[in-house]
Amino acid sequence: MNKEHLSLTYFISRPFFFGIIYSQLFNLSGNDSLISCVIGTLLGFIILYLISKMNFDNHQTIQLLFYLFLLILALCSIETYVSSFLLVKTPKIIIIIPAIMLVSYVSFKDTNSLKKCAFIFFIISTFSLLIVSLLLSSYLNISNVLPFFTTESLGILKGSVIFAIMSCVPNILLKEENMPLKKQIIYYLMVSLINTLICFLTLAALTPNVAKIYSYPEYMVLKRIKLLSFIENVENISVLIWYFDFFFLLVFIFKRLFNLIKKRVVFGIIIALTTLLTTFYIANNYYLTIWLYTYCPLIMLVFFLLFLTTISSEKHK
Amino acid sequence: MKKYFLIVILLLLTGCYDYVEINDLGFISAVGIDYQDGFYNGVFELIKTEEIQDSQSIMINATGQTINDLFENLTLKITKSPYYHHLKTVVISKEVAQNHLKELADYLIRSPKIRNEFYLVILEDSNLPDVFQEEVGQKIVSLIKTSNKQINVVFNKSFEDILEKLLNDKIEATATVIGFQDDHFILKGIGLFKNYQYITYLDTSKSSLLNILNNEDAKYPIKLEYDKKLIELELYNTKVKYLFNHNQTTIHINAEAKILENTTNLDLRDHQIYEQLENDAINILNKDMNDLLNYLKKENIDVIGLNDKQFKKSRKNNPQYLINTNIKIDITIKINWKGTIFQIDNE
Repeated sequence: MNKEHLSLTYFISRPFFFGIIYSQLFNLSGNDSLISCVIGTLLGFIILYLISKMNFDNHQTIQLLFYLFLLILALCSIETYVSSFLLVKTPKIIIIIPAIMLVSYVSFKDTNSLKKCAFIFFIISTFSLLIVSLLLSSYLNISNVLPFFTTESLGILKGSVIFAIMSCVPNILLKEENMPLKKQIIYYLMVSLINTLICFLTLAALTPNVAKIYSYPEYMVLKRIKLLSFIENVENISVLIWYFDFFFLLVFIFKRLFNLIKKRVVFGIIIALTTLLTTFYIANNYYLTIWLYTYCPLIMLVFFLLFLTTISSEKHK
Repeated sequence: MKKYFLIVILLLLTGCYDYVEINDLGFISAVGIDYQDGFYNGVFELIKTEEIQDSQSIMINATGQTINDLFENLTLKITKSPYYHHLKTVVISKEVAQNHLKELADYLIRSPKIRNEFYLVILEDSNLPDVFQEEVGQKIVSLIKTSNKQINVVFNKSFEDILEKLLNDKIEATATVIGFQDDHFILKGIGLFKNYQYITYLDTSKSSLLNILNNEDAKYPIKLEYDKKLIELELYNTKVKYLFNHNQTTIHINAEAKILENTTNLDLRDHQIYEQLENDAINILNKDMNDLLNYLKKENIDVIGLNDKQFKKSRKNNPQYLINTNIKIDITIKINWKGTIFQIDNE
């Protein structure tokens, strides 16, 4: 097993679960969200297989648009979360500038160093997740997740598709790593198990009815954690695992964008314009933010289908 | 150059923009909310962080047309930023519980400033300003936690657990009800909700029974009379199981019992007495349980969650399940503690 590839798959497949996928999943599938996770994982294998067959050599425009879309979605997620829960008064541009600067600095570093760094953060992330799971175990109630198959089949299916699309399609960023398909599927399976575990913890601790009403149920469940009956407010430390995901996602988006654009000045202008568009227009206008969150699986699916055409064009050659 | 760049990044990542000095934070420990003549009237207990003189907290009143107005108007009266992360208790009047709980719940859950781990209690038969005295938040929490460990006549869970039931259409919510007598808080029992509306409360005896039915460890006293003298048992360590068979619900209750007081002439050295006591206790518990269940059926308030429990088995939602089902109660009581003596001889 290549531990660096595992780490990268872990960080690229997970970010959009925070604030986007879980809330939609619970809303659509309710207590059958676990079933959606399982079906979504199986669909994900098919998507990964198709991604491995794609060839992007002559489709740089679609790549560029896709990476910009991922960038907008990631920046919007970070800004919305931080300004909703942590830094309520801080202007969004001040929230995002340090992140952009840090990611820019790191993205120009050597990929091998980045992969080693990813592995270290992977260890920290999985260890944090283990601690959180243990701390939440006393608040879990298995009957909250039962019974299965009480939600409409369409809801379960929609949830599965969203799970598969949003966790697999960003793996296009890792195409250049040339991971063997078999290994990539194993890594994705491990990541899906972790995502399913988080889904289970959220449902079992909060109950499906409560999880549905929150925008960030995976964050709200962490508020339940109490250590030794006096240590509270640990959710802001526990949520660190999601910060790493967004960090590596942004780093790879920057890397792939720069590989396409090749000129630093143009790259800088595009990043700056995208950041300003996201910060001052999309994230500041909740109509657009909600629209983006609702339709991002559909947009991701459209990009995936566009990338699928690269397989048929490759075959015709 | 790279080092300066890194230093700038590090400085910007500290998140100091929203920083509020801890001395400028106003720690709110308890909130009381009433509704009269189209306005919400609130009392906020603000913990003093300066050098303690005569009291550890001060009470501040505020008014507002909406819940948000009420909380915002508080800031007009205090010199600090209200900090709700240590909120212990929210006390609401009967009027708010009956007619405005949904609005209150929406505000409390929506606000990221408020942790939902506080206790929500309903105040009966008293006015909020009379009740809000020093350390009211801590006193109510201590009262609830102590009762939970002793006889358990309360709903010892946080607001988020109440919210779970309010959002669940298969079970009704409950909350602790308190009163105020002789300058002390008194637990009155468990309040019953139907959707978001407070209906009434069960007295302490019925509240214990309700906690038993909900598998919360509650102690229930049973008084048995023999020749006009009493022997008092206390049930504890109760375990309840529900079996559903078509329209029949069987509730199996297994309880242990201890003898707390004996003024009768029963010979507690005789093993057959225990069997007699157990059988008599079963009869009394059966009657009391049936009274409670008939009352809940009549009011159609499913606080036990029979519909929810049967839904988990059958996957069929039946909102009228409580009314339509025949309930049979099967009780087993085992006396396993009688104290340090057998009996005091009567003269």
